[in-house]
Formats: sequence, structure tokens, C-alpha cells
Amino acid sequence: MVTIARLTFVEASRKKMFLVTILLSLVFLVLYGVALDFTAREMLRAGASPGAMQGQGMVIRQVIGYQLLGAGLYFASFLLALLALLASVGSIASEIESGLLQAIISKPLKRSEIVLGKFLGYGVMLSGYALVLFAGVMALNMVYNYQAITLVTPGNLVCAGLVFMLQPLVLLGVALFFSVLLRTLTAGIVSVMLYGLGAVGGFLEQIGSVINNPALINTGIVTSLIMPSDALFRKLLTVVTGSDANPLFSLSVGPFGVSSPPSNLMLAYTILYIVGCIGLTIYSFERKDL
Amino acid sequence: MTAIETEQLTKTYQGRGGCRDISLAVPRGCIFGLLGPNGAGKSTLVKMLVNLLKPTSGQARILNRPLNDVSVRKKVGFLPENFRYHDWLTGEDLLRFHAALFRMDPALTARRISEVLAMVGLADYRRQQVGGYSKGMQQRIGLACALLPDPDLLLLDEPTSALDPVGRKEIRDLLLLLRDQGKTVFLNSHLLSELETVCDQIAIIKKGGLVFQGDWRELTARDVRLKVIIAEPPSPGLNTIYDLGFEVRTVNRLRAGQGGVQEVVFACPESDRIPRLITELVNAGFRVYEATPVVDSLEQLFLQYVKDA
Repeated sequence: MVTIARLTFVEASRKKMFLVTILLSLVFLVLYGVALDFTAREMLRAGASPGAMQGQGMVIRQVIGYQLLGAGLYFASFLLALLALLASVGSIASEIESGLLQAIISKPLKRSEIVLGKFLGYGVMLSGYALVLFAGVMALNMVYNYQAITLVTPGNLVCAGLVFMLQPLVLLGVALFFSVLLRTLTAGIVSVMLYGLGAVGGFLEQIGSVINNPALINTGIVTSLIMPSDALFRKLLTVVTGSDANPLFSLSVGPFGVSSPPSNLMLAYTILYIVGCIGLTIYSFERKDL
Repeated sequence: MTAIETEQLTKTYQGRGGCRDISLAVPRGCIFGLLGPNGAGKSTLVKMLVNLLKPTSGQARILNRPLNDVSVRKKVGFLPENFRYHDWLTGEDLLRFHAALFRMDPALTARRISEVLAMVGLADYRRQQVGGYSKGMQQRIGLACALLPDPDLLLLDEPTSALDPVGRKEIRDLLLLLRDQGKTVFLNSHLLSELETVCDQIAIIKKGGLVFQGDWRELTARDVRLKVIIAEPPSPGLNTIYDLGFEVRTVNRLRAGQGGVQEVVFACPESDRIPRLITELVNAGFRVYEATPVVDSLEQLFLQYVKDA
């Protein structure tokens, strides 16, 4: 398993796609930093202007700060999802199609070791990338958008980093599963559609929560159970802003806000979901004719 | 002692195709050829033996262990028909990766890499990326991967399909060397002329079923014929050949006219009867210019089984 994991990690890290994603991430961080810088200057200017009400200005600054923090984490999550799906969706399917796996499966190792090795290899690569990206976004917010994270403790930050890291692992689990069942292109389409479904479901749940519509909320919850990636993002925002202790955060609804924060049970479910995906992948791969 | 033993091994796809009820016994220390027309089920059988396909029914044992015993594969080398390897690795790194999959220790790995690269003629290309190899070199590196653990059983699916004639000869010699070292080589190939030169035993599959297995040379030796070029006597003429007590298979006139030259093929199931046949021909007044024993080639045997069965 370790041999497969090591090869998978090296292979994934040397792909052009990984390099392009890193460059895109750098571009994103630079643009995000510029946007935060301009916003911070504008806030200062508005706060200093005569006639500005001190209390109202603080609320507006916090609401905008939360939106900017949410936007940064959302696009970072999107980049991460993109890399997770594109890197791993063909990991087994394409090797079956090309015949690469034939010489490997005939070796003295169980098929489950191949699946676990692939998950481990991609998982380490994606987790490392996720942590660096998360650290980048948070560092920029600490410099330019401190009011959005005033309630964040070091413990929250670590916890948020782990939740951020879980996002690509969920998608990796799903992509690996479909990579065993379907051809590369089909597996890619299905995985991306599921990711999209999760995002749409997340929006529906937030909207349902704002207008107090149980049908929409339930639809969102069911969607989150099918694909928990968006619920993880909402959980991440809750953790990173310490929103449980901050009533202002509930004002920052919309695509980058959380009006209905997922519970800790959702985190447990997500971990079970990943384990379930790996289990199903092993089960399907054990029975697959190559 | 058998290297491979299958008992009514069957693989079908939604009840069709594949191969059915294959009961095969491949002795150790021989080169065993698997033959059959396209779509006969040869690759299906090979893939079942290396765990790429799950049998629908039946049983199989490799080196006296059941198919699903992972540990037995430490002593089994396999070269797939559609060989494809990580082309971004160098030849040496690829072999190191495969050695790790065989769970070989580092010292043994280093020694075997040098040995197998020399065996397949790639010692000078060990640091070149596999993606830069020619098709033939890629097939050679695939063979090197299969040879890494010094396997007791080598399963080769079309092992020379990408090689030039010199390369084919080198691989044939290598297989014979391995056989002489006591290894068992299971060959699946379309190239009958190649199988003919190296195989001790063969199996023929047609439409998913086994139609022959065994020592093909023994089988063909049962049907020895003698081809003679003779000039017929003026009287009583050619018809005398039918009275000699030997079955006449064919007669071809090579030169017409009185005292014409004929090519006659007699059935001569026992080779020690050949001198008697020639004596009879001479006594009957025929002048014998040439006498050649004729034995079926593997190709003829194959065609006969594929047509008849």
C-alpha cells in the first residue's frame, strides 16, 4: 500500500495540472490580497469621514469582513475541489483503460491495497495543498481583515484547517468510487455534478433558513447527506468566525455566509461518508473484471 | 508436479463468450504454448490465472496454491499483452517500483535489476525514461518486470509482438534458458512458428473450449509420411505403387511422358518401415531420386484442430 501511495503522490505532484493549480492559487491569493487591501483602505476612509456613526460603521465593517472572508475561503475551496476531482477521477479508470493496472494487479498485493494506496497518495498531496492554501487565506485576513476573525482562537484555527482539509478528501472518496465503476470521462462528469448538487443544496438550505421554509431546509439537508462538501464549507465558516458567539455573523447570509450552521454530527457523518466511499470502492474494485 | 492446474475453469460474460470448462495441467519445467484463433478465449484464461478476471465457476491452482492466494504471486511473473508502464519513470525506477510490489528487499532488488536488464538487453538504457523507449524496448522492460522475482512460473501474453526478428530470437533463447533452469513458461502467442521452436507442450482453445493439450511433437510423430521423387518404369507403369502395401496419400506428376517423374507421398506411420518402402520401390522397377520424411508442422496440427473440432 505504501509503495502505491508513494508512487501516486509523486505522480500526482509532477502532473502539469498540479503545477497549474499552484500557479492559479498564487494568482488567486495575490488578487484576494489586493481586494482585501482596497477594502481595508475604503473602510478606514469611511470610518474617518465626518458624520460617520461609530456603531453602524463597525457593524458594516464586520458584515463586509465576513463576506470577504467567506468569499476567500469559498474560492479556495473551489480551487481545492477542482484539483481533487481532476487529479483523482481518472486514477483507477484511466489505468484500467490504458492497461497500466494489469501488471500491478498480478503482483502479490490485495486490490484493497491499491485503493488505499491511491487514497493515501492523493490524500496526502491534497491535504498538504489544502493546509497551505488555508494558511494563505487566513494570513491575508489577519493582515487586512482582522475584524472578521477577532473571535478566532488558535484552537478554532486548527479545527478550521482540519475541516478545510476534509473537503478534498470527501471529493477524493467520491471520485475514486466512480473511477472504479465508470470510465474516466463519465466518472468526471458524475463527480462534478455531485459537487454542484452539494453546492446548490447548500444554497437552498441557507435560503430556506432565512425565509423559514422547512421544505427548502430539508431539501438542503438531504443534499448535504448525498454530498457533504458544501455543508463542510458552512461548518468551516462557522468555526473560523466563531459565529456561535457572534450574532453579527448571522447578518452575513448569502453565498458566503451561514444562516443555518451544520452541527458537529455533520462532521462525524462526513468522516463516515469518506470511510464509506473507500469501503464501497474496495468492494467494487475487488469484484471488477479488468 | 504441475505449475498450473485448472478444473472446469469457466468465465463467461452475461452467459456468452469467454472460456468454458477448461481443465488444464501444465507440468513444471516446460514451455507451454496456448493457441487458438482470435476470440477463442485465450486471453480470458490468462487473465483469470493472474487475477485480472474473476472465474464464473471452476477452480485453478498455481504452483499448488489456489488462485486467490496472494502470496503465490511472489513467484509468478506476468507480461500482459497490452503492456503499458509508467512512462515518466526511468527503466531502473520502474523496476524498483515493481520490485517493491513483489516485496523484494533492497539488496536483492539492486542485484536483480542489473541481472534482468542484462537478460533483456536494456542494461545501457536503465536511466532513460520508459516513455522514450521504442515499442520493442517497452516490451523488453515489461519482460524484465516479470523476471524480477526470479519467478518459478512466467506467464507471457504475446511476448514478442513488438520485437524485430533479432529481438524475437533473443527472447526465444532466453525462454529456453529459463526452461533449462527449471522455470515454467506459459506462452500465449499467435506466432505458431515461434511456439513450434520453443514449446514442449501446447493447448488449443477453440470457441472457449479446450480441444487439445499435450505434447504436440508426439502427436505429429504418429503421422509420418514419406515423400519420394521417382521415375516410373516403362511397364507395368505407375499403378504398381498401389500394390506395395503402403497407403498412397498423393501423386503429383512432375514431368510427363514415358518414364515420367512423379512425386508420391506414402503414409508411413512407423519410421523404421521407410527402408522397406524404398526397397519395394526399387524392386518394382522405380528409380528413386529423392526420399524425404514429412511430419506435420504445429501450424498444420493447429489448423486441423481448429477446423475439425
